Amino acid sequence: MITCRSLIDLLDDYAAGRLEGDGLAEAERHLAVCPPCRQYVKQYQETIRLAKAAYYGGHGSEPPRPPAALVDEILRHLRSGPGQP
Amino acid sequence: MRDDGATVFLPACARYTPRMPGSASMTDPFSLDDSAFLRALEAGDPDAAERLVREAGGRMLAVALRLLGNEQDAHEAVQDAFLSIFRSLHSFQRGSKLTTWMHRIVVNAALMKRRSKARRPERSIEDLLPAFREDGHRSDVGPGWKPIGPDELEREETRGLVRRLIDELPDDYRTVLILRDIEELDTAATAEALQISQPAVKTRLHRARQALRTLLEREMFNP
Repeated sequence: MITCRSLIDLLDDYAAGRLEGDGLAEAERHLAVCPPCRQYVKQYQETIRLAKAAYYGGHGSEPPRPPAALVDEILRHLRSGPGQP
Repeated sequence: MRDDGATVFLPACARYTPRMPGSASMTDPFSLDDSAFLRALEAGDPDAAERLVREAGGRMLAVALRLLGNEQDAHEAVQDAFLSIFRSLHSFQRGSKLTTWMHRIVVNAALMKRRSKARRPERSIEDLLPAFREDGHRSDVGPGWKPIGPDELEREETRGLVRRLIDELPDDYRTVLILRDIEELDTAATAEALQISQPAVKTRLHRARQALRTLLEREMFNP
């Protein structure tokens, strides 16, 4: 049976549902008897969820407005360039 | 970026909810992904150009801020990106999504800016990775994590803490995590943008997630 360290090597593909065949069978056999690794897999998946939510969660739904100074600077560059708007 | 190694708290626009690709509303310039708007842009119509900058600029800035963590650098990256966009509009493939194309350009502009800056000293990621005994099994078992429900995850305090921990990752790992898990580039696109191999992207992403898990455990789940 694979070790905890070997399971870690499979974890990315396992968590993403990409693991198949012997690799998947090995991972599942290990997880069936290793509560710490089961806990680790759940935490790995939770980490991905928390990272996404850190940037995309919350109530903000309106597109942010760019700072006026930035808009002016970009437009100034565009207008000063040859053949630009 | 962050030459002083200080933790960066991003301004509100870097935490904007919907990502650039895929959203559409009446005020969304990308709902104007129609041929008339694109023709106006290509023809150099100044009103169309200004509209694109005003309506897409905030989203572009949010992407650059996530990658650079520094407002000044992000502003410069967005300027570079828009200049590149207007210079290369003729190469935009009709039928593609304008948002996706612009997203790729601002990511590349931010990464160019990142490469041009002095790097802060990298902390080692090794002490954030799981430890094993000589026999390959775990030498420690951390605490179980209490569930974080939707309400807690909506709180800015929670989300800000997670962003701060992501900022603590070594830069090469943080960038891959942002590109893959936040900006949702695939492995091939991330490898191309960072000029590294696809296996290197996979390895860095996996180690970045493991390191972030350790940081989360230390900061959020240690009793």
